[in-house]
Amino acid sequence: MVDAGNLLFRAPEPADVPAKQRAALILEQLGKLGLKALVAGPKDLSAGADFLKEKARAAGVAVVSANLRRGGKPVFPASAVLPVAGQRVAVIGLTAPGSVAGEPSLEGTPVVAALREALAALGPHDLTVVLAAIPYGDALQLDAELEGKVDLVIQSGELRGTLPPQRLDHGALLLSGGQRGQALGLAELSLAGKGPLLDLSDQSRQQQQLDFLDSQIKNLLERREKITDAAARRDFDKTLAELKQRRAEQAKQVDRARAVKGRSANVRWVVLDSGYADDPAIKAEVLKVEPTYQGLH
Amino acid sequence: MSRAFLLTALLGALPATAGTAAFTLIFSGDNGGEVAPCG
Repeated sequence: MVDAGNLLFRAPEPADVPAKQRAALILEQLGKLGLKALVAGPKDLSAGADFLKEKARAAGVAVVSANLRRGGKPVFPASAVLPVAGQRVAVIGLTAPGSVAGEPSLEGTPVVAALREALAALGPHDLTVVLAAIPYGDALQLDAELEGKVDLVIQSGELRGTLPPQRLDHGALLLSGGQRGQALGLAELSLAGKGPLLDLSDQSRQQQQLDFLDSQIKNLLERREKITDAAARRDFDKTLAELKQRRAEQAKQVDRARAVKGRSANVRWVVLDSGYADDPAIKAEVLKVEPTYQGLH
Repeated sequence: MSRAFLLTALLGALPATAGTAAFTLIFSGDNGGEVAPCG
């Protein structure tokens, strides 16, 4: 499991004691559940970089950032390579450029240059994931500047929620990060083969669109049977022809999507709604730092 | 924290895919200091 940042604090401003207690609990519990890597986003630095380092180390979570500097020097490792199912997953972190409210001596440097340098320094790996706690517009630029070198960009900072994957122009898939604990993203990856990750969830959406057009055509054909006026029938046939043309184009889209073989990703969201019960032991810990917790809010 | 309970269940349910270059990456972001899911 990885996190695209802005995990620990509600605001980037300097944190008070209760906020630090919540942050420590979040890292501790997610570390126990298998969180392996996190990028330092603005809302992770509200108690300063040393607080984050200390709590993450205690939790067994690697914090990465290729562009966060203090006095011109890197604060965290730029990347981590995680062994997963015999594959080497390279995870690079990017922090929002500019000053950091939680610690004025910190600065996020320009992200493209930092990412280029981090990629060049990586050893052998099978998948490249960028955890991007940076503005959405900056995340789009990564793909344009570094064509083909990044597989997944997971972006946080603007609460974009549970969007479907977005294919960028040069092959990377851009994922949103869910928000406020509302959902978890699952990317089922298959890395046998070459080339950009095929988005299997897009194949599914293309097929759904084709099925929809088929049902519309069927509906129109049934309605056509009841039209007796010749002029009305001609207008109807024009609409039907246009719909059949769209259907033919969509069928080609589906065939093209199916024909592509290689590395793939099937991305879906698990929404954490009230159907999931609290874990009693963890809830007891939560109540120590959030005494007003009543359940899903 | 229901999110924590869910993770435990998910990690237990994910199929073993050793040797097939296939695995599931769980990801999140923008939690914003929350200790419980916010609807």
